[in-house]
Amino acid sequence: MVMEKRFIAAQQVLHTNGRNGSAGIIESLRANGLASFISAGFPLPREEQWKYTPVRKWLRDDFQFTGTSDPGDVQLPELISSTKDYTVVCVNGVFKPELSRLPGSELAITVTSLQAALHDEPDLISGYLRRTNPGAENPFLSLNMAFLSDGLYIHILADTILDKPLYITDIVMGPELFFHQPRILIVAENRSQATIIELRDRAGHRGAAHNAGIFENTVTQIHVSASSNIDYYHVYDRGAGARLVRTLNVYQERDTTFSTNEVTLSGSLVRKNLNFLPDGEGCQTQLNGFYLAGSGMHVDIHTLVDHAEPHCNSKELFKGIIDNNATAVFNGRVLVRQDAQQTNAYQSNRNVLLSKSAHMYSKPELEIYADDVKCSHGATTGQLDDEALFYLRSRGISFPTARRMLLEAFVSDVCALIRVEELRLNVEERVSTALAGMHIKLLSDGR
Amino acid sequence: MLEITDLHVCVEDGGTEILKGLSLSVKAGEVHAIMGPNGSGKSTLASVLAGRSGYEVTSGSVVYKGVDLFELEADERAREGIFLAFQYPVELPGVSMSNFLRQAVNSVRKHRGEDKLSAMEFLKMMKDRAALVGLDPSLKQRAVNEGFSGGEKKRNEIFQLAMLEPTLAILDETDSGLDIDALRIVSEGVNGLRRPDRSFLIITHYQRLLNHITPDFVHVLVDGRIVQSGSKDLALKLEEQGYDWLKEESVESVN
Repeated sequence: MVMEKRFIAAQQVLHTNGRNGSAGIIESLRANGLASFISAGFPLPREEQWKYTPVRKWLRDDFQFTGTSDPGDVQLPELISSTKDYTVVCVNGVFKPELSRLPGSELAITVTSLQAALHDEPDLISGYLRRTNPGAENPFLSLNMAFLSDGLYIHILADTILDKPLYITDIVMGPELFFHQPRILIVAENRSQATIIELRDRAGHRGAAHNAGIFENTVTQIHVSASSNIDYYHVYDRGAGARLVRTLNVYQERDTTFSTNEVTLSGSLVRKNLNFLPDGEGCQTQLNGFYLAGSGMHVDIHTLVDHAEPHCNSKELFKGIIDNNATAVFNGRVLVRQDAQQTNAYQSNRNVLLSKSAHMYSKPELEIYADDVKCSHGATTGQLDDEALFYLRSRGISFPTARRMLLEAFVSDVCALIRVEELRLNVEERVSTALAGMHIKLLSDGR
Repeated sequence: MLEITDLHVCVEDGGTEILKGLSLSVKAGEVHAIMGPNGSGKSTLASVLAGRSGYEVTSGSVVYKGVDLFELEADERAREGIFLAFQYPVELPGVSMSNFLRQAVNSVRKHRGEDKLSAMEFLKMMKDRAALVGLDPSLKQRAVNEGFSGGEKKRNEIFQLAMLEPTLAILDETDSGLDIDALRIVSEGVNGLRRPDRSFLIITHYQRLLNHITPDFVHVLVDGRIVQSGSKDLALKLEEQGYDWLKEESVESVN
């Protein structure tokens, strides 16, 4: 518990009870979070869920837990500055309305700080915050709760159709070894529709190098009420050295459609716990994504789709490119409970290794207790096709260009699933940049 | 243009010897047909000239435009004007024809010291050259060879040849899998691309392609060696009599 003690001590210093006695509900949430964290502790290597991600390795630094209080000049990500769509800007996880471009009052949507929301509707909001999908509990979720002070709350009221995509971005400004724990809660009421993008990129106060020491433990909760449709995207590109443990909990009521596209482009550790509970009939759940694991990266995608109700479909496609000494893990768990008849679940994970020392651990985990279902999965890990490379080269295209073209093509079908064109173009550009940084020779030594 | 001298080639890592002392001289503007029975080494010759991996040159030389060909990587050879029309064109899902060709054409042009084509010039060039082989111009949006019929794939090879304007075009069994109409279209495309400074090496199993494309020379490859060379009439003789009489001669000459 030595490692945990530092975190617990920091929590006590920051949030000593009574310091802010009025906000009793936050205190109680924090206390619950702390208690669960203490009883669980950080994952040990022997735990199945963390078998290939010895996460303690990335937790040894002497972290600081508070960001810069006066951000001064904030450098927004390029995409956020240039887009004409809605933007919600947070700094160190705290909502900054003055930096945001919010929907007008004609649209029934509330964007506010979590603190304000907890103040206005303590029971309702804390109820959402406490909710965790079964099987989605993990110590990082508890730790995030233990440090809860603020966050972002987006409330889309019934029958609201958001006319433009809404970008959320969180700019990190703090000490070099900043342990950052933001929380986002999105509640979409009945029959609402929205496209929401969570962008965590390298822009900030002092430029790219600034993020090299950060560790983010983020939690995003999305509650999708009946007959709603949420199109969600997560783009992670904090730059070299940055660490991320992300928990996404999606709760779907009946007849809802939820899709996410998870793009991972940089960072030294990226661990995602993506949890989906279609908890009503007629739900559609789509999980797509790709990861480009360059030198020194460790990417671990854990997904859990928990089919508890009949007549739901889930479709999952993750692709990865793993270079040099990088490691990637994909663990796709699909649980079809006894009552979830007529479930249609499909999962696919495809990977390309660019070097002999790159590692990929891919594990589909289908647990099926219903008898009238259609479930399938496929996992492949290989290298670029020599004949395809030769074909390109025989047309005069140099080896590095040929390889880049094939790798871009490999993830192009996942990119094509990004329905926001501006975002798709931005992501494709990031992909080109990331791939250009992969210099390592192929297994076939390039001939 | 191309001087092959006593070329010996094995499958990589000490595998079987396939070419066993092949010599051939091709001058600028000439059309040479290489015929031969299955397994005689025709496609290996095409592969080795284009730079496909998996083969080992154990002895002999290939000089192309005064340069040792084996000093060049596959992409360098292509930029120097060697073009291989594949027997089995490769499907490249996710790579659009226009992106593929723009990269290829600009690589070759850059090497020749020519300017990049503008988007307009490039599109016009694509349209004109696609028409040569009767390919639908809408193909530029499609992924390379993906979902193309067998005939379309072969026509696509000749289309690429037209785009890249090589000095030595090697056609590896371009006629295989083509119906009579497609064969005519492809042949007309090739005939339209003949130039005084462009040579062709046409590898084929059957004589029928040579009804449409008239070669200057016909060579017969048997067991890794050219055992007979002649005019286009040799192809007709092969069509009538098959390869067996040559195989016997080949054995006799060895003995």
